[in-house]
Amino acid sequence: MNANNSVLDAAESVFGRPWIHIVMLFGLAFILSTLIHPEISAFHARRPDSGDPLASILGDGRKLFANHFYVKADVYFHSGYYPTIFDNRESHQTAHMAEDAGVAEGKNTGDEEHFLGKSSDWIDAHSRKHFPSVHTHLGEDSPDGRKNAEREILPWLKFSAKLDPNKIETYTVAAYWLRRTGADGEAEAFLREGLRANPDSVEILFELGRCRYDAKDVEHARNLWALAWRRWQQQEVGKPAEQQNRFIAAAILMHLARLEHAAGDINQCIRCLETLLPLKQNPDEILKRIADVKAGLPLTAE
Amino acid sequence: MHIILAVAGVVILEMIRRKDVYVLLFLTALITLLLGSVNLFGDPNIARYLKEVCLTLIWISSVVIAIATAARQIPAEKESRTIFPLLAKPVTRAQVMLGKFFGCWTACVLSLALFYAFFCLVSGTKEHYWPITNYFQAFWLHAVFCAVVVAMTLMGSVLLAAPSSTITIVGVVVLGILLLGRHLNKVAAKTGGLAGDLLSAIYFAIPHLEWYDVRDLIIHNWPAINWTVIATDTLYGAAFAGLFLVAAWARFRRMALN
Amino acid sequence: MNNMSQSSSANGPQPILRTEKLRVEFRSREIGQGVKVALQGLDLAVYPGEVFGFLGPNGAGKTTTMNVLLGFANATGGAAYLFGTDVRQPIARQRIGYLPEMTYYYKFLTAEELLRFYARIFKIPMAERERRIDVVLKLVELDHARKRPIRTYSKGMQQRAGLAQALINNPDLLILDEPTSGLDPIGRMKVREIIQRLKNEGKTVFFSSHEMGEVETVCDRVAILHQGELKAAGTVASLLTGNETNLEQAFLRIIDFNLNSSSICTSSSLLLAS
Repeated sequence: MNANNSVLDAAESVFGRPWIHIVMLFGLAFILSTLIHPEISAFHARRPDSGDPLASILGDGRKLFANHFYVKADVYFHSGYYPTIFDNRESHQTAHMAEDAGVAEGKNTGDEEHFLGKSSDWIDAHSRKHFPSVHTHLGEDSPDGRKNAEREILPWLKFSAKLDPNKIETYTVAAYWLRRTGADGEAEAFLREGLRANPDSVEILFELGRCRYDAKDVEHARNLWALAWRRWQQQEVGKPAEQQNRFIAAAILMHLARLEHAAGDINQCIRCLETLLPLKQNPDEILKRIADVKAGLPLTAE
Repeated sequence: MHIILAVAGVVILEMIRRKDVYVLLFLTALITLLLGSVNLFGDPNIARYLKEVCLTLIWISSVVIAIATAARQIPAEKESRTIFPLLAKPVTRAQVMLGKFFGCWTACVLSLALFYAFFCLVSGTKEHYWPITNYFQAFWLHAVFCAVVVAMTLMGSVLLAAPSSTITIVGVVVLGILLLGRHLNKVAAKTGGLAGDLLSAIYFAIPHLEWYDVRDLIIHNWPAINWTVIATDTLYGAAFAGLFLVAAWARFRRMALN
Repeated sequence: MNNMSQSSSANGPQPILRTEKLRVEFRSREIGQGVKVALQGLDLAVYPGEVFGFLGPNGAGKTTTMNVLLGFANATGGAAYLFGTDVRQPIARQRIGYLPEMTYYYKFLTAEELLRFYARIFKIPMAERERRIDVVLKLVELDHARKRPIRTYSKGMQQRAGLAQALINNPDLLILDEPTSGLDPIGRMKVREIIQRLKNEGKTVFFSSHEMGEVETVCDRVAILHQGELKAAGTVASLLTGNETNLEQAFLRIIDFNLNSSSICTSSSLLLAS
């Protein structure tokens, strides 16, 4: 009995001290954290884009910002002179930077010089004196005398891609302007970044092919364009004709045809052009090119 | 004039001793420098996006400083009762109003000078290009914009009950004009009818503050604006600031102080 | 009764503060209450060099009178003059100093900067300005704290800073609205001392107060206002009648304060009753 009492007394003297409570709580917290941590890690891993704070904060709203930044890049391409939602935007249905890059089908109509129309009153007229109302594109006579001024559009494209990694045009447009200003390596790296987010993107594969072709890596370019073409077939063949993205298909086949022609494989070149025939609204032009190739003439660019 | 300058001097001292401007300048500098440190395809000369971000932050800061400083002037004088010893001197209410206006405006222009100095530093370092005329035109028009906003806020502060409501209402009005002021005539033309006429009337009545926002002039290195346009903008801004101040004074001179 | 405020003959010195049949009406904010009369036909005259106490219970019209004198409120009828100039002219306030009740001066300024600001309003030349600042700060015993922001001051120090600003232009007339209100006994004593010193310097002081002892100590003449009407005016001795021994007893009699009918017994009224 006395022994029992002495054990109880000893226990009480130990457990009655505040520091032992703190040590016990730490121990308990450590055990619990080791139990919970794997569960939490697994939960985070299951969530898409879980590591991106922007995605967590903005949700799908980030796509709106991404689109805004994409348009912003085109605004920069025009040195800030650009129609607002209140102006005539017929001439800006396709971003000019994308149209000029050849990565999007141009749908622009109307007189792009005069989207503002005539000034309606003195306030409007005076307002226009604060900006040069001339339609220009970056890189055409920069007042600061800079070379490669086109690169000023790139930050917005980068931010756009960061916000919406699935917006394909962002990668292809940026890659074109990077290549045009001599940054081939950066262009390819950015496209590969886009390909990781969009592994089946025909447009990105096509642009990557262009990068490799410019780098004289013909074999790699051929493989990429062939893969792009296969992807296009997988994605678009079942669709009604008017919904198919024939612009990119035509671009792939034409580039493949030119590659084969340059490599001396005339038959393969003709096969590519023949595949292109049903995709074109005006097949006569293609037929003429096929005839030219058969006659041993050079394959003209579009 | 010495009375107006004395009153203005106190407002400027208040701004110097408050933390608002320093906090806003610090935030602007921090965000700009953070964005400036982003690696954009290995090209350190890309500058326009940084100029745009920096100028946008400067504009936001200037609107906050102008409205927040002006909105509390008269209510604070009433609340702390310092208006009594002030008006017990040979001072008219018009002089108090003008002193407050010049104080707030000078405070805004001083803080703008700080912000623009930082901007010039960032922009020049990145671009190695110093279009001084453009910088001056943007700065001056920004200063005229602040004058109109300060006058408008002072008017709001004697018409509305609390500084918080003045800040909110003037803030919404200024933002609305900056975003939509230029386009109201187009919206009016498309709307038609009574609503269209109303929009048209608003379009002609409001101060067109968007004229003073010439950020693109220095972002895209446009050619300098014609000086006659700058002079017209200055006169137009001065006329509106004067109009708001007269309205503010008309209310203030009849206002019960307790 | 109104003539009681006049202590000098027409041939004697001219009053530096004068009101003639001053009337102030307010439109009541409460529905159905109509117009409220704050002052009715007030005639006052304060002469150079005297300390004039302006007494009355809360709501008697003391602050309204001061507001009219200082141009904060407009009179409905009658007229008010400072140094012979209509109070509606700002120049009438050139030679006065005013200490309002319960003012919280610009907290971000030091006492020195506060005084510099008010001195600039009077267009005092810089050298003279600095000399005046030294003089008034010494007078109100704030010289040691002149470089400290006002927000760090105690209530009594703030009140003395207020007195300093009222004195910065070396005024001929001081208007003080309850200068000792809210101060502890030491603070009250210091303010009283300053008023006494100003009196000795020959300044005219017009002040309102609830502190009868204070008024009795420093005032040459007093006026008692009740419900917007001037009830009595004259020297303290002239207001005492019969067995009244102090101003408080006279004050309660003049305003017809009935101790027995009052439900509130203040400490002073209990003292009076005993």
